[in-house]
Amino acid sequence: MLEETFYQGSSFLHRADPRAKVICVFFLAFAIAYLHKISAAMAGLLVGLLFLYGAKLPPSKIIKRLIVVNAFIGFLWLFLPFSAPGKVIFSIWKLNATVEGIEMATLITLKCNAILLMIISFAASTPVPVLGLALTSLRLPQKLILLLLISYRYLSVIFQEYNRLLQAARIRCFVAKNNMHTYRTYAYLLAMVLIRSYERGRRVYQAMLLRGFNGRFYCLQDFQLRKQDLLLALGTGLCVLILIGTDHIGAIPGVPWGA
Amino acid sequence: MHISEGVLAAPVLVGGAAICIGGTALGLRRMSQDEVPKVAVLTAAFFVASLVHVPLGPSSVHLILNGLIGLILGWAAFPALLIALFFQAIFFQFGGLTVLGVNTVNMAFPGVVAYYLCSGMARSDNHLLSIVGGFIAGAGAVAGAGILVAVSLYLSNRAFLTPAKAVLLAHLPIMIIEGIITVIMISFLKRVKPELLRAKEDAPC
Repeated sequence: MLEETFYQGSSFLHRADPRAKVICVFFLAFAIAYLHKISAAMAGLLVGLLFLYGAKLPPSKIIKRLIVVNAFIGFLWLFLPFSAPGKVIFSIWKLNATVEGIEMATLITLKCNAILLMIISFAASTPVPVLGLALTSLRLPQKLILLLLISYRYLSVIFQEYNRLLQAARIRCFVAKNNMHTYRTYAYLLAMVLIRSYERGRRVYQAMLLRGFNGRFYCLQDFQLRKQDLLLALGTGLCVLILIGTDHIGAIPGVPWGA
Repeated sequence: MHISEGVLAAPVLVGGAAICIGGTALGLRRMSQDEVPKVAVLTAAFFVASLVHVPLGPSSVHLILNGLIGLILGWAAFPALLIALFFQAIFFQFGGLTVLGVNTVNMAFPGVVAYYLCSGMARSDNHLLSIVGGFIAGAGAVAGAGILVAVSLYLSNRAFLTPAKAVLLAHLPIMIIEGIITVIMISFLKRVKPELLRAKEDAPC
């Protein structure tokens, strides 16, 4: 179910300290989300591409993923050019497309894809267990991290359980259609998945207690900040400054969209 | 429906993140150490449930089940949905990291409201009352999520008014499906595993 094919890499991002990566992605993503100008958003997209380069991921797969995820953006393109007030450039029937609307849609598309490229590069180079440990040392609540790690551990198990039940239904000639029978079947099936997960959760906890679990996972891996991590942090800081700077050059207060 | 990256204005993102942190903190505080593995595995189950596509007319919709999540987990719906949405962001790039807070609030808050309004009704021994409570929880939580998505869009920019309306409209059929499925799931759970609906009261393990 979950693609983890990219984890085995030796790129710059794969080798970087996960704590440094978390912090850098956090600040960069918010900086890009803040931008109001197309020029700045283009610079943001460049940063996203840099990340992609840093993680050395196969471009064809990334493009495929981006196309799927841009569905929401496509949905906005249907409406935004016609709903923003401004200078009309063309009209279909009674709908007037405005320059402002098209600019806004372009801006959103750029920002969205810039951040997505960063998320893909980050997620592809950081396995979730490692991320959990990094977040622990960044002082996030222990319970939240346990939730993250344990639910990650059981995702594929429960997905298999669901598939087994679905297979059993299919063997009995279940075909999904638009009727109450389908909805009832799915509801029973999912309720069964919930019950099994609940039972499994109890057994898992008992097994953990039996092995001396006291509320935290111990980390055997020692994270160390190296020169390249400082470089990453420095680069990120610089990028954030440049992005916000570009965004504010010539900006008239009050005009940026959304402000 | 998840809101993508780059769409919302900064104040909305920050506000959503702040509410999300508050809700998650409350959810974690109310969750005892013993409940953590149980909630974690249920989180995984809800993540799997959100991958299920149910046929609806010529197309299909994927389930949200935030009403049921609220009924079962109460305030723990916040951390559970935070993690489920985080997984969706890093595995499939649905939603995103900067919008994680807003998306979590949009899904979890209606669930928590359903918990307070409907859990008594849904757990009741009266069959009819239980059906009504379950339907209100399931359909209402999806409607709440749709309204919150529309509001977050509208607050970001007035030009989002039309897409926000379209989002609301798109939630209508999903509401009904979710209501029906939640009702059936609750009636099944009540017969097979009633303590799951009373997760709070029952003694750990």
